[in-house]
Amino acid sequence: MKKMKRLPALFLCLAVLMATAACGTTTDVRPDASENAGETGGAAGTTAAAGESTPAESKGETGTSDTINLMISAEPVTLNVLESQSNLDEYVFYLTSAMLYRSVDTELVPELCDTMEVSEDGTTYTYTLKEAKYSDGTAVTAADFVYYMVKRYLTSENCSRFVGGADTYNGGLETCEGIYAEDDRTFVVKLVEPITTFDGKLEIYPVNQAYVEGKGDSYGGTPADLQYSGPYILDDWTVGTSLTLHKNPDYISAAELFPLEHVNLYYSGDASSLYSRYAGGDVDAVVSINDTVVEAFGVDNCYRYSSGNMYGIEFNTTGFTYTEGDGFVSRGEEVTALMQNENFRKALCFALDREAICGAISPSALPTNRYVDSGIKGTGETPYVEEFALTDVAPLSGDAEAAKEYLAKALEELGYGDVSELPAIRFLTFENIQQKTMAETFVSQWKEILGIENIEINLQPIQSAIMSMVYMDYDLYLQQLELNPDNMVDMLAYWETAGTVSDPAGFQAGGAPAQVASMHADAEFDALVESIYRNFDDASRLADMAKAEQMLYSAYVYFPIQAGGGYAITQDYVHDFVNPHVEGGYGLAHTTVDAH
Amino acid sequence: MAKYICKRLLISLATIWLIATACFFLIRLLPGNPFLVANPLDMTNAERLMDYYGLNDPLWEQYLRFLGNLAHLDFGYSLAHAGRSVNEVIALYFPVTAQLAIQAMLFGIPTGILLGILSSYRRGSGLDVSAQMLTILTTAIPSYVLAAIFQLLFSVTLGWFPAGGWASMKYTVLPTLCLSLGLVAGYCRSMRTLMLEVGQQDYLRTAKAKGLSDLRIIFFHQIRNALLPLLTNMGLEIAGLLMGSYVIERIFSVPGLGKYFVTSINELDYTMALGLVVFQACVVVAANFLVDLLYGVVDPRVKLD
Repeated sequence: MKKMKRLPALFLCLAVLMATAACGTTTDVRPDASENAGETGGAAGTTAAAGESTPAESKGETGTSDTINLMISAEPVTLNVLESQSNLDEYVFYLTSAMLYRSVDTELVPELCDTMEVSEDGTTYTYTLKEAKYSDGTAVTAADFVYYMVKRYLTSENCSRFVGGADTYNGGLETCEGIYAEDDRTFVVKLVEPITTFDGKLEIYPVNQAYVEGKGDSYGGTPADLQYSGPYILDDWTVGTSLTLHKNPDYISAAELFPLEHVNLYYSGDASSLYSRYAGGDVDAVVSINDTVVEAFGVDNCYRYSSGNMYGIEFNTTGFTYTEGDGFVSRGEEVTALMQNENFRKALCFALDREAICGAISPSALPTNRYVDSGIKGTGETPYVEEFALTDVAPLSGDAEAAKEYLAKALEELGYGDVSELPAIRFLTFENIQQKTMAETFVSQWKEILGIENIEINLQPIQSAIMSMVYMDYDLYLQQLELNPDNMVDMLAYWETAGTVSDPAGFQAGGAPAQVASMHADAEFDALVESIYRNFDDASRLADMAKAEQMLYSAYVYFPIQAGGGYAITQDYVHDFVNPHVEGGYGLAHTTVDAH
Repeated sequence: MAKYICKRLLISLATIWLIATACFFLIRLLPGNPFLVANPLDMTNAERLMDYYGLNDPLWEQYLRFLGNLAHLDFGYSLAHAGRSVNEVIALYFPVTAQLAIQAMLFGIPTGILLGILSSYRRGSGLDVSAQMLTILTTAIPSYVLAAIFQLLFSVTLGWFPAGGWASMKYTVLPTLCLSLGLVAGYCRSMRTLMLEVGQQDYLRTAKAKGLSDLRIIFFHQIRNALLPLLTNMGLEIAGLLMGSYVIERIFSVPGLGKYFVTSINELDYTMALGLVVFQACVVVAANFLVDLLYGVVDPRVKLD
């Protein structure tokens, strides 16, 4: 008995030790900037004044706090906007201003742009800039936008729109005939021909060439290696933990747009930690709540936002895979015939209950039958997706009977007596929990409804999966695509005969053998999409858009599953916080925080 | 002694070179392109960046360049995190990982050894049974589950410690505890077994026959001899801990090196992965060297020459 008493004593000692470590902190464990900056020393020792405020000092005189603590689930990869591979880096961390920025209602509105003029022929766009400067006092000039646009904005997809753009892009990205600075305040963009998808709304950022070249390879590596033109300046970036920002007094609209002086962003990649830190009162808001823990927060307390992407199932109807050594290799006659059979593809699509899948796996996502963002405006007040509804679509909750009928037709056409005779099908997807669960659910529904048991999920790390996708080494692929609200037609253009999704490795352009078809080779569709680019009449353009969508849908080469979304939550004392669209930012514009 | 140290240093350098060489070539076997993560369809841009970083040069040229930089202890710039040099990453985040590892070791190893000694001394007692249960539980429950439980208990419910972040000592308590419980369990179990084994040895009977007290026998004969096999593992254990724990660092938002080991491979960040591997090789070699030297201190029979 006496021995048994020693055990509690041991635990008591442990508890005392822990309590000692926590001494003086039992009433308030909220992380504050002073602790963060002071003790970590900051990334590369760049801690500055903002990190020295204390909670008491940060409360304003009128009962408001000038600091917000946000929990984020994605941090910057680099501050080098020219080489960043993440669309998060450029803007959402409030460090860089833009020619135009995306407001909370997803409209692009002027930021550094003072005026914009379009020539009569619709090919020349002239921008004059407001007077602005970086945090180090250097003036923002038109040349800074030229440098960014030439170095970063031009891509293989858009370069041919600009005069000299293709030569610049393919020849080394130094200068471009159609993108230049007339003087320090005048920026000019010249198009090869007027196109509807270029309306001058450029989401581009100023980058000073001399500064970048002066920094060399270290540009954007740490907070000290960046010029700030945005509403906030980064004082400290402790990778994997936090970013500490204070307001940039030189930002053009600092006073009107951003009441908060300090923004502390706390990063956690772990879903349950997000909850613990919010519930423990460490933070004022959580920007992105993982679907797996949203119930802990209470779905009703959170609000949903669109994340600007969609998932769908892509069918490799080409019958070929490309390999580095052997070139084009057939995927086998049987599986090719199967993937090229429209009834088989429809059977797989109709069998899926997308409502149930979204509800169970990703409640923040919305099941969809469309290839565009549901928020896009129509010709009047009615949203585009309602004004131009598609016909003959698979029900979002699936249609098991129709799926079985399509499968029976497919089997008959292909000469199979039973599904057990079908060849093996490889279903490629990323090796992450969300996509893995989605793929497993699809396979499970196909097995349950259609009795198909020979679909093998090929989980691969992201890099390998991307290469397999580019070389079309799959039969089915869970494809994630960006939905650009400014440019719906680009989404459709991906599916032209030589489009980047139909023909990811550029086989059509690169002289592939005649028998290698694009995944979606349809001359009528190609012509329609190209005509949309040049149709300036809103009503008929949108009608043509819907027609093209319908053609793509009816081909069943890419079957939409869900439009992505996310959840956010704030404490009661936070006002006017709007969670940013993934590419947006400015969730903090007009945000205020009561003293708490 | 000096001769031994020189010999070991030469072997260490050869080991590090072998590891660096093997990793340099192995990592290039991974499929994929490091610049196709965000825009997988922009092959032209990816090729341009490959050229810029010299990744399209012949492999032997890249290898010689890598060795030349390595000779200057320059690991280069990260491919995934533009602007950030690998040396900077190690300099900034290794101290955090090291602090966490040292705290975990300072708490975990002595506690585990002490519990093991007490368990063996009071074999079959309530303390022994409790210690055994503790070791089984902490070994069986994954660290991420323990971490979540600790966060809910100590942060959300009791409000004693922050659930994450890295600012002052109080932020280190929960990650340290999570990281050290595995050590407590491992060392407790090993020490208990070793103490019982050593307890059967003839020299202890002799010591008892000489009239030495129980405490003297335990401290000066039994513990000392039981510690020797533990030292062998300690070197690798220290090296492992000093490389960080991806899971613990991720859950508690600790800015350590652990995440870079995982993400650099996923992102095909060749320079980061190679730099960290070479750095880890140095730490392992150094830790083992240190342990070999400690042998001589703990067991006078061991001669280092």
